[in-house]
Amino acid sequence: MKILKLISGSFTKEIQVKENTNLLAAIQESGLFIDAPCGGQSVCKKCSVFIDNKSCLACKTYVSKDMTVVLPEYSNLVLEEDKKKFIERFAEIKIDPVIKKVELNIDPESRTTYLSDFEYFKNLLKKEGFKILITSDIELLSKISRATHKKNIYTIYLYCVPNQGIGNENKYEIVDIIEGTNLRNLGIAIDLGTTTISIALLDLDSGIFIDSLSFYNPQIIYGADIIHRIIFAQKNEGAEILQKIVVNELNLSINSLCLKNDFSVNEIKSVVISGNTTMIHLFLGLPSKFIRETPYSPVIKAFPVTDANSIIDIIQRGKLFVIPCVANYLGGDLVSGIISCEIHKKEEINILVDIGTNGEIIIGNKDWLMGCACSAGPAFEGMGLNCGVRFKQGAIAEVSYENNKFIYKIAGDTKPCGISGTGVISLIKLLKEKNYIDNRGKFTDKVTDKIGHRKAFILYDKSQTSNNEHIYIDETDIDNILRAKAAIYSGISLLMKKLSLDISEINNLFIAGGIGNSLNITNALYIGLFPPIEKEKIIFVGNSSLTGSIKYLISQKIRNEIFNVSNKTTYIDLSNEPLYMDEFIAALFIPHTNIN
Amino acid sequence: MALTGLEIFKLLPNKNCGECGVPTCLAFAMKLAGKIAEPEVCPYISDEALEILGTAQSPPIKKLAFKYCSDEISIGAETVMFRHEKTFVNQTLLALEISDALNEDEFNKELNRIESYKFERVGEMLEPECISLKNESDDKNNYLQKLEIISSKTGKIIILGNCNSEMIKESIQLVDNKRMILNRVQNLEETLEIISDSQIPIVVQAKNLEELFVQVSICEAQNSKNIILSIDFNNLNELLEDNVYLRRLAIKKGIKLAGYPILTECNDEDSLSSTILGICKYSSIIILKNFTGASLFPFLTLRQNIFTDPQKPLQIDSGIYKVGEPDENSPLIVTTNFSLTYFIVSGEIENSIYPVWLFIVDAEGMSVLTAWSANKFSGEIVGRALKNSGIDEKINHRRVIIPGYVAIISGELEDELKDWEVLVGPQEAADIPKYLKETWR
Repeated sequence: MKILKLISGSFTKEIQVKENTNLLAAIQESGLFIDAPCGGQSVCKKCSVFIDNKSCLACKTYVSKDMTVVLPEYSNLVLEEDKKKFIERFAEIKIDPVIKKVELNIDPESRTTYLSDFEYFKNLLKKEGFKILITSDIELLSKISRATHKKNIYTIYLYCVPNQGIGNENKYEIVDIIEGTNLRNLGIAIDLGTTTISIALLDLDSGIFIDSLSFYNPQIIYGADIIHRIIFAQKNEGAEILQKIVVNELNLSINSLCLKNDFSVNEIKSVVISGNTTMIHLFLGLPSKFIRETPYSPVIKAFPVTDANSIIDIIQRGKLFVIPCVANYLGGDLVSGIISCEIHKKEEINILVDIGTNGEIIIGNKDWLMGCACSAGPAFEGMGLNCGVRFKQGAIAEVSYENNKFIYKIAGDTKPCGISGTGVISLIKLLKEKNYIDNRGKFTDKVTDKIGHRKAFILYDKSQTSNNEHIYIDETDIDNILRAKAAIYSGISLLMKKLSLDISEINNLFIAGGIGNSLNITNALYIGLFPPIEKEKIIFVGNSSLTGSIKYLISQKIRNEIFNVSNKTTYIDLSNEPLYMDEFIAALFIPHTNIN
Repeated sequence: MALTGLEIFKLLPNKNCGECGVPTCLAFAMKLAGKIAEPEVCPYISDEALEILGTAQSPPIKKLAFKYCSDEISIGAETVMFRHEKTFVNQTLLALEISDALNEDEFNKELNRIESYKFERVGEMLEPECISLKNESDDKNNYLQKLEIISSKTGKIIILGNCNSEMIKESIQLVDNKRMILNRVQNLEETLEIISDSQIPIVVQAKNLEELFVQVSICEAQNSKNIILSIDFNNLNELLEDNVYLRRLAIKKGIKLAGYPILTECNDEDSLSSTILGICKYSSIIILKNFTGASLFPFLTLRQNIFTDPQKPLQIDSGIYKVGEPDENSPLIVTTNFSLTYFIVSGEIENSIYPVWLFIVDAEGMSVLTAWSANKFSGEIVGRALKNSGIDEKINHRRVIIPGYVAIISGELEDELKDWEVLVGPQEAADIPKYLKETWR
């Protein structure tokens, strides 16, 4: 075995690997992300790393000795959510978690004879006000039996089974019994995204948000979007591989969250996971083929509650809850988002737009909800553009125009390395305002620079950049952004047309997803990402999928609401909507052609 | 007036039970608003809601159904002024006139001529659906005999023209009532009496709108609800005006008296223009006095185009298309049968000046990436379609260019097409000319 020390920015990780392991495979196995679109064929040259200050391709390197490998900084993506904001958001919710914790003082001396251990135990809990259902778990019965014969204080975790409508009394299932007192009731909320996974750790006794962690979905190496993942899952053992790598990553990150905060994983008794329909199917190991093919059916909308360790094996005894989905391309992440923004409770009509690789749109109020999904592509995340980067140090975050010059604001005090999604949006706005492009996004005669044969607008010469490459934008980049914005714009306008609604009837437009907080609303409205709406009505809500899952964790009431929301949301398949193409083409302009 | 989806939704029980076949009440309401579902399908709908929906949702123009050959066809039921607002529902029926005064030989010959007018166009059979039998002999037995011949020899709808009450009384015993229309009856009130127990549609004739509404009121008073409107016109302007007024009154103003299908009888002088006008502007039935195959074909083609539902994605037929004059060395490009894709790709190929074989794969009218995502444009499907296309007899190379966005299918396609070379073309059609110039040798 050889020791491999992997360094990415300030993050270091040591792993042991067998001699002659391929370095790319070892890095991927470690859970760190490295871009390798060619799949290790040494074609794309993107998996370049540094060993002893020498650059080499990970896919062509084999581990022959102990090594220190320096990876690109993006490999360790940790997005820090603003904790304070989280706490504020949940302050008004009554803490009433789905998994309850109760402490019992057991004294075998006080037992009557001939009564079975389980019945004795059941009666004790009944005195505490919990009606217990029979258990089918033999191991748990042994644990109960041992406890009923040994005097001590025990902590018992109970799962409140959803009321089936027979009687009004809540019934409980025993989840675990642990000897001792002062144990916590912890919960994990997971947002399982196609690109990014975020997890949050909560103390369910107090409802306090403890910590969170975000990282790349390790399935990316098998395909950047859900379609590629579904195709991979169809291959021999593909589904097993996809499930295994994501579960491993979750095990590791749950463990590291607990270690960091000095908690025991054993205190985690509930996990709530929300994600798009495909991610959930792959995570649960359910067949995903028909998400993509006719009749476009998910296996089930309301996923059953299971024992957490049947999937996430690090959690010994606990329950796994999955947020129900609406349809094949409208998942629990949006149901979670509806809950998070409370669209389903309001008299007024609101819109929620979740901007990610897929853009999803929800419109509705307390009586009805309707949603659709449109493929925006990763352009807003800085991907798929010639010089696009994620929002990070060195990214051009915003562009302004002063004294006849374009001024670029760079994130961090460093040389520029590329342009972020929000940077591109503000650049396009200025290019249009200053007549460098026309309303179809084509360069005017004002642009004379060229990269290769193509016309291009150069922001920074290669002598000024951190990677010694020009930073520029060309017409294909602008097309990409226009298509992405047109997909979202036309999705919103189609839903409103179907409902005969006008934008003036919309109370709030909630914007969720990664692009969120850094997006400049004026710029977004200028290029026509949304229908013209008053700026004050636009509210950024961050990761609403994670927020919704956290609410589920801490409130039983919300669990009931969530199933109701998933049931009553009407899914509109845009590919069956002949009007969508018209709307889309009309939106491929700056800002659009729907001008009254 | 028609209700919107949200207005209908408020009338529904909001149980989201899914028993109507769609998952939510809102989805069902949208279907009702689009008139592609019946409210009775909902098992929990209230009587009150049914009543509101019944009156609000019944089309502003009365629907009349007929038996035609072994099928049923309808007229009326229109909901819009212009096709692009939604769609026109039922196409104009064409009726060919025949006189009962012809002797039996001539009559049969004429009938055979009428029956022979059938044309196939883009996979659809086009033909006039009606025969108008005009009473010119004023001989009841002769008329009934001719009627019998038409009824037994054809499956067409029969328009009885110019008949007196006696003729009508016996005709309705003779012919399936679902196949007949009464036109220019000699005595309206007597006729209404005779047909009062049947559902036979009757044409109400008048010289102008005011007179027409008086006649319609008489029919409605007699409880006759299957009415067809017809106004005599002196020139094309009058025809256009009358038809547009009637449609506007029915749809925009909700005037019930105008809410019936229109029949137009073409006069001899200008039958070409008036037929075209009638097809384009709201006539549900047009009677032609003079006709040949050559004069009918353009009418049928026009009608097919006007009454194609613009809401359905336009597809083109799969198969091999020539762009320019390709030969055995010309490049072969494949794409999907979504018409927008086809027009853009073929347009760009034309710009390139290269003659090309363009092979269109049936992907259910989806664009390239959509089709690929739904597994309708996989290597296997494209490969199999190419193998069965006969393209290998037209070209002597074995190279095929696929859209750049589906580069991923190239491996699978090569497995499917042994000895073929799969070339990945550009992602954007706009780059095809450059690609052909630089890459194709």
